[in-house]
Amino acid sequence: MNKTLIFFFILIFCVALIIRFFDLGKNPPGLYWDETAFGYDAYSILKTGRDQYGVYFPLFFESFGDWKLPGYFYLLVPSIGIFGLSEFAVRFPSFFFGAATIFVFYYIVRRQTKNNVLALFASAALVLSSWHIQFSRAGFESIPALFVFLLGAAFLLESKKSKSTIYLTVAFILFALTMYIYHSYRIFTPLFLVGFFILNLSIVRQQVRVLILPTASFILISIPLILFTLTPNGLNRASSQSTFNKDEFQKERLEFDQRSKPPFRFLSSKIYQEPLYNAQVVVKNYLDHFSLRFLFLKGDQIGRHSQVDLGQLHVFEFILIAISLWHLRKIDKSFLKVLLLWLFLSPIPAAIVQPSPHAQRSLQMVIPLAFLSGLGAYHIYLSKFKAVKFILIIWIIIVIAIFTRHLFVIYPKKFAPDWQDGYRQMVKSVDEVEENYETIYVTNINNAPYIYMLFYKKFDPLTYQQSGSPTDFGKYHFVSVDDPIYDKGRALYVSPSWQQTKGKLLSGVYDSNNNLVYKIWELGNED
Amino acid sequence: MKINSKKTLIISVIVFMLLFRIWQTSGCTTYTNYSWSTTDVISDVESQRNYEDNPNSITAKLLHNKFFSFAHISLLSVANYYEPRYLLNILGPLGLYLVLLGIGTIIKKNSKLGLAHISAIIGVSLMIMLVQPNARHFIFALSLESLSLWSINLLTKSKNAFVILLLLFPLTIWFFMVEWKLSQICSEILFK
Repeated sequence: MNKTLIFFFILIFCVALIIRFFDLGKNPPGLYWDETAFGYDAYSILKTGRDQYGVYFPLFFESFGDWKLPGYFYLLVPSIGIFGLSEFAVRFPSFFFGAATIFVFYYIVRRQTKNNVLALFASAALVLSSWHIQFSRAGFESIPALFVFLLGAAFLLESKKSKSTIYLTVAFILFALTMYIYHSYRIFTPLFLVGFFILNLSIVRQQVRVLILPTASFILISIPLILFTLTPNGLNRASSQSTFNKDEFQKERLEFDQRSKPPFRFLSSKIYQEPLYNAQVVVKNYLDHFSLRFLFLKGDQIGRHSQVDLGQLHVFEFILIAISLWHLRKIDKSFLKVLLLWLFLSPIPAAIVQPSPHAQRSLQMVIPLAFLSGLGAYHIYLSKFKAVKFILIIWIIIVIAIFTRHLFVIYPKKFAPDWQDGYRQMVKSVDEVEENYETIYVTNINNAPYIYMLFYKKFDPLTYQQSGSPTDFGKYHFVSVDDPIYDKGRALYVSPSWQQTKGKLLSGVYDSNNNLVYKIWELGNED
Repeated sequence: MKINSKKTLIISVIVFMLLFRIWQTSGCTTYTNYSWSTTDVISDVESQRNYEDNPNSITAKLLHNKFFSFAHISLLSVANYYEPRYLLNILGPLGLYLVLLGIGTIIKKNSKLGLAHISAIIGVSLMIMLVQPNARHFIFALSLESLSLWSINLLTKSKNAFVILLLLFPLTIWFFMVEWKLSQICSEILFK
């Protein structure tokens, strides 16, 4: 690689680091409750070897009853060990693996296309990808899972070239590990492997023995996950996210039945077959992930998953991807098939759950899309139309500038509530007065306040495991709005700002944007 | 099956599906309108500026102005016609499959005529903002369906592609019956 290419590679990587690292612990403002749960359980593992429920090095974390996968928790342990229990530490693994993904992606593209410049363009597309940046800046499991999957893909593609069993085994081990990091990969990884082997059936038939060790490794590592999936907790987890709604199906069927006239009324029982109906729901959810609105204009409407109203990809990438389609025939066919397989399988995990489209569950799409953007940019770079190149460069600079400003200036203000901003400030306010009270009540919204109290107070995990619960620990009690707390003597009470309380108002708690989010009251001393 | 018979069958299927769907839309009393208005632009500008520290600053005016907002909102309006749910609603699974095959054929053959055809359809989707919502849906559906004609040669030559067509045809009829409300096309419909 010559000096110019090295320079641009370093430049691209520095941009990746800066845009993902700047204000890492502060933007997004506040920790979402899943991030807080990751942080505290990892802290508990670090201090005691047990999670908040006292389970010794669990394989699956009970957390809020949603049974999270272990990957991100254990990745957090060294981060918290180094940086302490903080927002920064919780988000650091995402940043680290998000940045590392660029390296692996560059390596794969360069190795498969034998084109350094194309690899640079594709890497630049991933560096600047708003989709990838969004998830690299917060504690999302999908980012380390994507990194591990990409690494597995690198070994898989390398094993095809070198016919090495060791590479293939490492690939399969990495693929199996992805299923312990993020739920989407429990569907995506097996589908991808099956698809990959169908695409390479002729090679597989000739070298079946080579597959024995890798497959055995994959199955062995997957066994605990398969067994867990079949338990009531595992099944509950799956059904809680499911997109299949019996009530909706019955409602549609009934409406058709009521509106149809004899002799066609019998058709409703023939037409409205639940498996077929569910299949069309899944197909629609799947296709949503290729929507122009989702990809380029509006993005995921969940505030944590995108900049919202800016698209998962930048609007100029539409042109780049459109141009790239025209040049796909110049790409090595076997690599192209893998990329297209990757692209078309990516939305499947998101298609069978709600809501749809879902940027996190389909994050794996970002890799083939970054390649297509890079390919389009590469061919514009090669073209002779200087005016077109100039206009496109100016457009790209403007869009990136607007995006960057939105990311660091507008987004933290607009979407602070999505990140539960205000909890840190609430705990700090309570800290200032708590020594004056024997009892502290906190309104229990979404069963979340307890984890924030544990996290920001760095409450001793051993004490919590021995005598605490999500409804009370130490002098803290997490109560519903209707719980009788007013006749129990002097106490501190933290309520949301909208809740009317019979007590003496001590102070308000404001989030990063100066919005009142909580009120702190004294009870039992209304004088 | 002879190639001419296959071509006749494929064209018959395309025409039948189109006519069946057009018949279903005859029950539409109010068509969905994906147009935008100047009020949308103004309110978008104001809501964006409110997140700036100083909504009247030069930066706020430079970044959140009617020009950018108009571009964003009008693109959103056009993008509604390319929503996969909308395309599925008007074309059905088979129609969508044929259109995608058609686009794939154009790209594979590197056909300039095909590219012009796609450009014409994009042009139509921009121009139809000027007509009534009911005409808009018909014009767009017809123009999009015309792309499926590019897939005919592939369907006659490829056994797999033809088999998929045969499988998708009854599924599409079923889909059109289940999607009788034409949720993406009609705001209000009489059951037929």
